[in-house]
Amino acid sequence: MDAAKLVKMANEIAGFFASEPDPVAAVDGVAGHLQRFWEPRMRRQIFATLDAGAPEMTPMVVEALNKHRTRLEPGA
Amino acid sequence: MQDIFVNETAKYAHILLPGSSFLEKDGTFTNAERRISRVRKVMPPPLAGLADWEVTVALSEALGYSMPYTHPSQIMAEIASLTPTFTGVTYEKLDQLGSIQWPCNEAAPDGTPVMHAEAFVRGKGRFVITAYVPTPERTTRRFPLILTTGRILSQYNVGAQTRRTANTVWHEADVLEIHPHDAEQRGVVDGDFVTVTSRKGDTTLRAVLTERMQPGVVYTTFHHPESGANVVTTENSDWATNCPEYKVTAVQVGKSGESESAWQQRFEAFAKEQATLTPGKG
Repeated sequence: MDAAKLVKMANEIAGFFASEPDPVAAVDGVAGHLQRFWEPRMRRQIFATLDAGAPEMTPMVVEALNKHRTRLEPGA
Repeated sequence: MQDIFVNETAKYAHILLPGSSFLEKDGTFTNAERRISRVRKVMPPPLAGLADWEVTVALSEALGYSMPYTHPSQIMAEIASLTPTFTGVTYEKLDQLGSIQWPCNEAAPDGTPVMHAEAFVRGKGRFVITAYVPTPERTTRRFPLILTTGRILSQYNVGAQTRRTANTVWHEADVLEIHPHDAEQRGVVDGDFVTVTSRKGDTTLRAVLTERMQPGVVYTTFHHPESGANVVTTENSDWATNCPEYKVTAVQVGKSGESESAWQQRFEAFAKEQATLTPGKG
């Protein structure tokens, strides 16, 4: 899948969870959505994109990926 | 691909598995009201003589995973053993009651006609104000019109089922509905072939002038695959379910010298070739 599209999708997910009043719940919500609805290849690729440096990725997505890496990354 | 018809997806499939209609299999049907009803076989499936569930069983066995079911009631018993909202569902009870609305379990042995009467599973409902998400799609001088696609009553989606019926009398082709003012500006008269072009692609349809449309908005249906409505629409979708944004595509419309776009010509050749690979039931 196109990495730019994945980043766009992740940013849109974070855009929704930004409505969550509790910032911790917001970050956990983003990670929860990725875990439930993104298949392993998509999650593997978003971490590769994160590691390569993704300036378009919003801070909430970066935080969610870093905080929940062990849970989200397939085979990690 | 498994269906009772050689549908649009079949054109891209490597293997076609036979499907059975509701008259050709035993089982249950659960509708949007959570109502589980029995489906009863009155005639054998015509092709391999196998009901859908038997095809799944045969496929699983062929792949090395044993599924020793001999009747769908055994499959329901397994569902009931694993699903808290189905623990009370059996074929015997379905025969007794006629139909059951899940949840059906110890707390609700005869099923549940109304859910969430007093509270949701989480307690009271929770409302959160979310930000407005505008479409990234924009009209410009190059693409000044908004294309909206939709359905009409007499056909269902791409028409795998309804195009095989006399309903085609009411809708034999997808057309582009356009306001007479927008048409006049483009030199288009009723019945002309027009090309609808977006940033994504283009397709050719017959124009129908109608004041049903607002100026600035054009409309077509997607009941005929050769119309290629989704060749034109964007890849935008919502964040939660990836539901495509088929109602907002910036387009330009112009008179066409041809009755088919390049994509439509390719699709026609492809469909013809595929038809030779799936003889018999069409």
